[in-house]
Amino acid sequence: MIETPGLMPTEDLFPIFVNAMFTKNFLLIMFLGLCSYVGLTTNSDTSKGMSMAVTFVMTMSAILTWPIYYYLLSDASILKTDLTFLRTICFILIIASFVQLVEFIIRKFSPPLYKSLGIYLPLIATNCAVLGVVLLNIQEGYTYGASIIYAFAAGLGYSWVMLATAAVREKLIMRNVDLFSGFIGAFFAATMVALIVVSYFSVVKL
Amino acid sequence: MAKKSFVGEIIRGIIKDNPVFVLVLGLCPVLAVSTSFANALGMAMAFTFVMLGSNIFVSLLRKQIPPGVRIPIFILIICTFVTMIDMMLEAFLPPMYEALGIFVPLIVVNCIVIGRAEAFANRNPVLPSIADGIGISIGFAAALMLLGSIREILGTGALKLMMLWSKDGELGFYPLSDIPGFSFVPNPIEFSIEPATVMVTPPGAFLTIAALMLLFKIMGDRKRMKQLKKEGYEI
Amino acid sequence: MAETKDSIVMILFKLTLIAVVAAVVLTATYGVTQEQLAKLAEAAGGPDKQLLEMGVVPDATKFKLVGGGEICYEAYAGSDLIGYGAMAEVQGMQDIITLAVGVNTDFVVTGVVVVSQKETPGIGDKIQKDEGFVAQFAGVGLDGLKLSDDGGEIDGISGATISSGYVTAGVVEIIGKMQQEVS
Repeated sequence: MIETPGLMPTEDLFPIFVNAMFTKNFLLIMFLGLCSYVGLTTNSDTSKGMSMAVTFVMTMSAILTWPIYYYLLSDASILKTDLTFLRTICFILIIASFVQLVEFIIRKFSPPLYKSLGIYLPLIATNCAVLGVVLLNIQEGYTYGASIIYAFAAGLGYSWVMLATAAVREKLIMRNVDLFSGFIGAFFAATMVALIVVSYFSVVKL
Repeated sequence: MAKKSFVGEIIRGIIKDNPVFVLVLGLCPVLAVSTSFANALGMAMAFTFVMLGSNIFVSLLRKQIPPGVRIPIFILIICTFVTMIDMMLEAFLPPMYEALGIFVPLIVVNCIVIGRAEAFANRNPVLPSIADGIGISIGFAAALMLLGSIREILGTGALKLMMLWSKDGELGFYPLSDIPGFSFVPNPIEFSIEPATVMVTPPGAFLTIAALMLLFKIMGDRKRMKQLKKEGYEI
Repeated sequence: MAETKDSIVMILFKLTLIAVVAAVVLTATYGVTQEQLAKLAEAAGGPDKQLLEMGVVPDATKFKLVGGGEICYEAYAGSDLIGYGAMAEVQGMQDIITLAVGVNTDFVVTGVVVVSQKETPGIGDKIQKDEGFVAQFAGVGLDGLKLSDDGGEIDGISGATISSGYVTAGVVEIIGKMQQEVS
């Protein structure tokens, strides 16, 4: 019988927030969402748009998936059978459907935004960071409130790394250092930012 | 269209279209799981299972899949295999299941698998799709284990070569030296270098892959320069 | 390649069909794996069997859950109560560490086993691989349960002092819980 965590947060929210933003940053420490990271950080405008979209999708996905897991799939739910092995399928379908909905709404209400995000909007559905957040919420057994906050903080963590890396890479591109172009430059930039996070927050004694 | 050989397709997946170093896809598990040779091997095996299953079934059903909903159908098919291997790992190889963590379910959103389904399996018959799946999986595995070995050697000063084996009836990942016929392999292989702990941490992961990509780029550039010189261009 | 476009009904039908097949395959796999998991759990036994097997309280022949307790088990040698044992999860540096702790009736440690951990491979994971590390805990009372750098009796593993600290703190935490449950 799975223990269903409550709705209101009972955990310490500050550590959850700091972890998602820094010590367990999704891009740099947990290695989630890297495809969009190396692909989009060449331009700070697309990075900005993507960050906002990802944060929004993460938060909404957490809001949608938590009740589905605990009130439908777990054996403490109305269906009385343990269907938790279907969580991956359920979550990814929820996320994909939600992204489709967001795509539709953005197209209706802000065609320029839709155009600038281009193909990267539907790609949010396959972003490991989004699926990662909802899976981690379950794994850590967060209450509903805490899981929403965690997802939002994860989005913020993703955002600041995207923007910081875009800042570095734009400079690298301007200086036209061929050896560090493209993905190689992205990874060297990532090394630098990751080193900052890791040593400043004493995640590991180097 | 020249008839491509089965083996040719496989080799293409390993070198020309290497998913990690050339296509630069599916990076998340590569960086996260490459902290040791054993973890890298486990992940490579799980990935291969999903990759082959996905390519085979997408190819089998390719004439039936309605184009408008093909991505959700790909995801459904891939997810079935992912959930299968996830459950099987949990039951039969618990330590590897713990080590790989959420990266097994995350194979379902691995850009490589979905990408190949869309770009290849959906347009090609089963046999070439199998070849593509094998090639891509080997390419992925090679990249993973290369990274894993480098990080393990530089980060801990030693390399532990492990393999999936059944010892005393128990399935698990054991040192290579435990397998009959391989007992000459030292376990672990010691290197007389001072370990740099940073290599098994996140910055080390980014650094290693950046360095490897830089190396391959320089090698590729040299090759192309030689080719151009041969053709008579002034460099 | 000319293909007739499927009607909405056909599309929905195909989607449902695939979903159903997927569900069937997964349920079948689930059945097989659950069987295996049940076998594993049975072989491992409950905490009382595991504590016995790990030998955290030497000379113990049986563990019995403390009345009204959650994690603390009474350790018996025959019919004599010789100590207590408990297995619990504590915070490690990277993730959770599962520790098994055995104490005598004065709550002096008799043995510690690191059951599972996810510390940095090659560095922090020495807390589990270095047998000498956990062997130090035997015979140490609550006052000595600190790293030698902090004036205690436990020498941290060089290069893995953070993880060593977490294990030591975890042992203290578990003993605290044991004391609570016993009283």
